[in-house]
Amino acid sequence: MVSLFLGWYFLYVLASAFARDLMAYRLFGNINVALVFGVLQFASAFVLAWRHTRYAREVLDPLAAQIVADAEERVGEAVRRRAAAPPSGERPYLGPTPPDGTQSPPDPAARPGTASPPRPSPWPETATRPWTGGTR
Amino acid sequence: MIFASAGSLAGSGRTITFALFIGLVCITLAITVWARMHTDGAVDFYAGGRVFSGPQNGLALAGDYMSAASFLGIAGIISLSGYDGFLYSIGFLVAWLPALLIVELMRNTGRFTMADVLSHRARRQSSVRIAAAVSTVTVSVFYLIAQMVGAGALIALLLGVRPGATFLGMSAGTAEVMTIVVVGALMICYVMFGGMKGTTWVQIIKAALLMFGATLMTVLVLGRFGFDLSHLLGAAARSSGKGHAFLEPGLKYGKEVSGHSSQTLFNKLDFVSLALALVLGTAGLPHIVTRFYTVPDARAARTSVNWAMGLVGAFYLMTIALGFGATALVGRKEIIAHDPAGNTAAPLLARELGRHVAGRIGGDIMLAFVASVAFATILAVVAGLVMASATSLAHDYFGNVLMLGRPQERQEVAVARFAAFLIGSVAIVLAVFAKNLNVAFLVALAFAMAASANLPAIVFTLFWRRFNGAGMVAGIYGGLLSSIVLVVFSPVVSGKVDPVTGQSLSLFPKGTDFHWFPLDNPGLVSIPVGFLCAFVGTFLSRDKTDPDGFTELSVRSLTGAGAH
Repeated sequence: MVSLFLGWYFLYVLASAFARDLMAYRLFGNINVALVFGVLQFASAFVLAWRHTRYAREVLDPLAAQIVADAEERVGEAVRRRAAAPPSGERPYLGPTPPDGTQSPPDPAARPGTASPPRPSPWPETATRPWTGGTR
Repeated sequence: MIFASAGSLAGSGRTITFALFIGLVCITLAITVWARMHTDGAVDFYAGGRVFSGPQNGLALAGDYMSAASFLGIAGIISLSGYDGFLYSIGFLVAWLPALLIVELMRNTGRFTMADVLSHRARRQSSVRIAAAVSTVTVSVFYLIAQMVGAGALIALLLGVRPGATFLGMSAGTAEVMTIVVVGALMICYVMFGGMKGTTWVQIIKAALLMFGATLMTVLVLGRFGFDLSHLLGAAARSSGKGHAFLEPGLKYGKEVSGHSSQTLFNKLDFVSLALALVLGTAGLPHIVTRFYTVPDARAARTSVNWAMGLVGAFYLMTIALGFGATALVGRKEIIAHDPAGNTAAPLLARELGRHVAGRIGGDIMLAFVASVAFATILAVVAGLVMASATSLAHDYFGNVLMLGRPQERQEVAVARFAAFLIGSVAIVLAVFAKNLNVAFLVALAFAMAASANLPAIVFTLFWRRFNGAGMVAGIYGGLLSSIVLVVFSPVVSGKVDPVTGQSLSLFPKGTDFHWFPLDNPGLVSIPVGFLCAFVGTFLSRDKTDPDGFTELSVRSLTGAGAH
């Protein structure tokens, strides 16, 4: 989609550079192909931005929310298990992904109410590396 | 106060212009004081406390992005070269689409700077952090020098200070140096004391003023032509003396030189190169990237880029009316008489429009208003640039390299304030020395460097599983160096001579010629080189790839888990 648009943009750039006669063709009054082509670039950029925003809202956001909810459930389970059993040598994985490195499939049973990601406070006093922004 | 009057651009309106400038300075300084009182820690200083809403940050992004070069410059290019100025505008707008694609991913995975994102994928952080800081500071300082030199000349022009004339008892040259120093001092003030909060509000005010001014002028211009675009274009083409060629591409970019087919090809490739750098550079510009972090979450970041796109797009559409309107109503000769580069086209148009509505006073008021919009534009953009490089120096270099990622928060913010002072001062000194040089090419160079050095690292970090730290370092330095080297040996530095006047159009005077790279803009070559270096660097190093790092980053970038 994006490469298609960038292609469309560079078609315009190349046409401006190499297809001068076509660009100079007057459609009506003093409006020529070059001007219409240029304004179309604006229009198509806006349409693409709007499409992307809608796609992000309808597809990406729910997917992200589901992954987060799924991870929260897992963390909750791990905490419960820890509370029930005395700590053994095996530490349950607490991160957002399973240890095999693949993304977990969306859990249909995920609770819809827990969509917000967990937000640690910006300056945890006990964190080991408060400045790196990562937990690695 | 003693004002010299010699039929200059400002004339009797200079008093009004000067008063508006002072008013603007007072307002922005008041904001800075307010922001200082509300800035406590690193999140406040670097990211404005992450309290800005999407639309607010969108305004600030637009304010950060639309420099005086694009406000006065594009209107000027359109008024002198017709359609080709519009080609520039389109590049500036289309550039936001790549930015829209990466903004959420960047917001979700970083804290304050681009290096925060990159460091997720590197085993040894320090080399990546240093590379990112080097490229951020280089891009920003080059851009900054271009802006400050431009500011000196522009404000002198807007206030009507001409060679030989005096202003407040200073000669024109001294006044220009003073302008650069004052602009620089203000920018240091905003950043040192106001941090990101102060800078953001300055940018929001500027964007609002700019949009208001441009809309008002567009309506007035179109009103003069009965809201008939075709009529306006016809009048502009007639007045330009170039006929319909004025409405077609080819007067400025990709000029056809009859008899020199290779030169024609190079001119056209140069234009393609510029378009490439504009479109790919924006998403890698440090002062744009740091803006992504001033909003609470990725959704707000997405909204802000959408707002910025809307504002930037609307503005550049209006530049069609402003540029062609200036040609039609003011006339090409008059514009060239004031400034051969066309930078005063918009102010002259404002005066003409105001005069038509309310006589002489109206003209003076409109001129003063547009001049202060330009002044606000300059201040907002330079402040954003200093902010970005101070953030990178303090957070990436001091915090994560010198202090191994464990600095005291207060310490790091103090370093950031000092870095702002340092970079600002260096920029002032460099700009004063460069004030008589033709440095306009530095803006295009900054875009080319951002596209060749920063973009490969960002794109591969987000989307290529095999990528590693060595690849990042290779890509950043490779892209940066190749663009600088190519520019040094390009016609903008040496060897370009105006065929008509015989004067040098390059940085070096006539007679010095060591160019071998035929294009003005290095993007067409240096961007592929940047990507190639990142690619080759990844495979050549013995650095093991960290596939877990990629998976973790993918999840983070999508969900915002662990984001601050």
